[in-house]
Amino acid sequence: MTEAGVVRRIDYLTLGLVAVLGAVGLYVIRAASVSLTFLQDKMYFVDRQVLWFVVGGIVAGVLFAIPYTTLAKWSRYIYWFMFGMLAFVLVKGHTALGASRWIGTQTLQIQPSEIAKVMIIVTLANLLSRKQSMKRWRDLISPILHVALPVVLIIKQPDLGTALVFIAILAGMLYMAGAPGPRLLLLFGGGLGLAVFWIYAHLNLTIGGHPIPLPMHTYQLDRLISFINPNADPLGTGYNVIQSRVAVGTGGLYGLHHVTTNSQLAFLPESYTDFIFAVLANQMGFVGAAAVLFLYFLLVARGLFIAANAKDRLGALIATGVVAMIGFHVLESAGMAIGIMPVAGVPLPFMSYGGSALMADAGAIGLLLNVWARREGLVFRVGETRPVVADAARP
Amino acid sequence: MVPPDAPRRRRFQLRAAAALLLAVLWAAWLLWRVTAIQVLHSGTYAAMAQAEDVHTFTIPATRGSILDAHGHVLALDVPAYTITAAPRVIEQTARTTNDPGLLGQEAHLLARVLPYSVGQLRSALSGNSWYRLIDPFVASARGRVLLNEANALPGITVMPTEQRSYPSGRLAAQVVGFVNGSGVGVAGIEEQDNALLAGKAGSETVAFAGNGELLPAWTHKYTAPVAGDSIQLTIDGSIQREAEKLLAADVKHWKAKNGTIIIMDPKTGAVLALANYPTFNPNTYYTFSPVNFTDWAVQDPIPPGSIFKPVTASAGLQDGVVQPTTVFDTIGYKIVNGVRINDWMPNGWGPISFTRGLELSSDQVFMTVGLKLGVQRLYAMAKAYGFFHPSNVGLPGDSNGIFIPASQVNAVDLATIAFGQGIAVTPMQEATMISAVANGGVVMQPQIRKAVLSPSGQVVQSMKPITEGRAISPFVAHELHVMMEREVGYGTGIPAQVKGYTWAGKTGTAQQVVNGRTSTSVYVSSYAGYGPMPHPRFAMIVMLNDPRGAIYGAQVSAPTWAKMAAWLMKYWRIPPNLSTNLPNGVAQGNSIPPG
Repeated sequence: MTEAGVVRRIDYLTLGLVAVLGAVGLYVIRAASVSLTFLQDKMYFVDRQVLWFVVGGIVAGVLFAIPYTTLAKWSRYIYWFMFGMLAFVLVKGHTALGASRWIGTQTLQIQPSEIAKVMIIVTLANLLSRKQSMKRWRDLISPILHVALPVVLIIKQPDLGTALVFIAILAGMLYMAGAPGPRLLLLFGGGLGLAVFWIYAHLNLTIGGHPIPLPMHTYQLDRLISFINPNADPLGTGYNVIQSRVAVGTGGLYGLHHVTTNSQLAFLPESYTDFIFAVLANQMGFVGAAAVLFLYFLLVARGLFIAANAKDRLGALIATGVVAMIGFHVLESAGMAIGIMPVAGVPLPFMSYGGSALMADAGAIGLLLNVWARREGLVFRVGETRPVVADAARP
Repeated sequence: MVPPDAPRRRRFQLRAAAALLLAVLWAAWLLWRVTAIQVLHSGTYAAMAQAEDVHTFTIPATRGSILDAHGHVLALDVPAYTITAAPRVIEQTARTTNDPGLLGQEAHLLARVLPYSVGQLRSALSGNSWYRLIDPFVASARGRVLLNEANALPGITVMPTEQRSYPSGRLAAQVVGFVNGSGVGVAGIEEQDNALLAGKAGSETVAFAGNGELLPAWTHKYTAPVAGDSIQLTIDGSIQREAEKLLAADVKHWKAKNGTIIIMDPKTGAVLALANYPTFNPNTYYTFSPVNFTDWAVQDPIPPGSIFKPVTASAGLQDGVVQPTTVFDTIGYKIVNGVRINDWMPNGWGPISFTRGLELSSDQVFMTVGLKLGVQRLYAMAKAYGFFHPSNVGLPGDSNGIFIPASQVNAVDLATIAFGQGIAVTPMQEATMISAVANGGVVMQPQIRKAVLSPSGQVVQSMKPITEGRAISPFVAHELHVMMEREVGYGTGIPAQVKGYTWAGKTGTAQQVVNGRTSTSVYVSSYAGYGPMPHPRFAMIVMLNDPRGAIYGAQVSAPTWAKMAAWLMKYWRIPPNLSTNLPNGVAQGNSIPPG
């Protein structure tokens, strides 16, 4: 297959899904904007989001055009560039809402931890694809260290949500790379259990009169507590959780499709970014929310299909990483809006307002299309009615 | 590139299928939760939302004023503004409008008007809070300045309110009382007549924007508040001021714990002055010890001591147990049921008349009369004079006093009660009694409210004098007048004399009860009297609790009583009767007799 042929193998199903989700996202951002009393120009976020879509399209195009095998070869540079970027944020980043996650100027800021998601997918896929076996415990060491280094930097920002996305990507890719399922379950399930026990111990047990130390910010701990019992502090840490559920609940079957500065949404913090799913459910109702969830399911299923049909192990793992990332994003972002996940700042792919997140998601889709276009199988050349073997040109 | 081998590829596809199954479960879980919230429990959340963005506020009604007898204002509501801030809104606005200097600008704008520094305001306006009280009461003009600049102050709310103000400061503080931060009266008339003064709060049901700002255009329902009625007191501000001045000087001079002066109109029972010391300023009540809020006149029963003797005398004369001329042989003590009870004068005065016994305040004489009367007749007279039940003057904490139930009074108790020990009464009850004696035996209920006025100043209700009953016949009253005039003229009351006027009075020096025992070091020194005779315009009691350096009512309270009485005569322009045969010389000739 020549590189010219890949353009003919663009996966329009995936692109179509993304386009529909993005369009719905613009509608929802517009609705959320109306309720923001401090926002004078109600189209401000919508306009900027459209701009981000254009930029995201370019990013996706670049990541589609460069063969993923080539990208994998640059893996080392990509990894250390990512490391430098994350370190730079910690040293000299902009602070918003208590966390330094941004770099850049006043008008244009980027969030390196979002872009790092795509980078970790490519570099981890490269690492795993070179491993012949995943059966031994020690096979897990290098991939875990590979992800742990950026995760530590991201937790320092602090950005627990993005760190969790990295861990989800790691878990998904290890599984698809062939690490034994029970072993992974032990590792990640055990890690989760340990974290839960640690928090429980911190809250309930003391050593010599002092609580057992916990390397977590108080607000993060409070979020976990309010996840379990939002009514413990309904105007404080439980506020977001309750307001989000109320916003979803008031949407009803068909949604409100109407918003004012007096709307319920005005009570919802971060309505146009992290809690966009609550706005969606509020405005478009159960029908809209269910439809969007179905679209995400289709996207994930399509991603798995692409992974299963990848030309090689590297492509399959890249596609897996993309699926794990998008799947976890949806699970966390929609899940926290409806109270099945603790609150963590994770965007809903293609719908939450935000340039960095959109670039990361668009880049991930670019990778997915990249893998699909360069799969094995049949390809129809221009003017020919019979398919030819796509990888016939392969050396 | 190594093409994946077939079995490996197969395993990979199996894993992909497993992942797909996981994705199905994942989607189903999310969908189930969305169904639960949006379809099954939608109503619950809709109700929560409704409860959230629509709030009903109470609009405080303007509180009625408190005026003195001449209409001078003692307490009133003045319009003011409450300034609150939502620091989080300021931060959000600054962030979305790219205006990092917003906080500083707002602090500067506020600092021009509020009594805080820019630095203080900066720290008050920063943070993550949705609500912070900046200043509960800002004067009307200053508040309006901020209202005009509301556009430059996102996140700042300026709301109209009413502030309670006491223009006369400490004047009659315990009588007027004060309102707490929630606008509820918690002392004095403010407490007693809170419902009347408060009026009826209105309400406004309004919608809220999400950032906590009110949306006035979204008013759903409005009920106007009804302003409270005003209360006019019988207190005469001028008399009150003088009484407080003299009392403060007296308490300070004798280093007493506290003191009270009550001046009443004997004919109506109207309280013309009620002074307490220590006192407080209701405008800044929170800077004073709560002890200062005590209205000692009605809230703190104290042993009356010899001030109670007119009650015993009334009962004795009324029931014919004793005549003014009855002679008693005083020896300085009396043995009752084997218990020796000393007179204040160690060896007595030998044989003296009952009149002289009152003049000299002989305890032995009154023990004898009390024992002859018996507890029933003595208690009946005390009750008739207004003891043993609240004075009903209309102030909070109006005490019964403390007394031994009649069935448990033994002879020793009876003998001591007869000269005013072994019971505790409030100065207001004493004033009621002395006022009734002045009024020819007709007991008037003390009253401190003259009228209730509508917010526009119309009289809604005018208080009529309330007669409680007659304690003694006019004849007995006349006998008592003569005895008590002689007390001032020739007895222990000589220090109460004012040249040109005739008073009737009685000293009182009571031993306080400390830790359940009658103290030999803590005394209550009082003087009760009325005048000018023969047509008394006022009845007055001066009481000092625990004076130091001198203990006798004649030394501690009577001179202050005399100063106040003289002032009253000038105030009312009652000329002295210089031809009166009052033996003023006696006062100069004798050393001050105690008792």
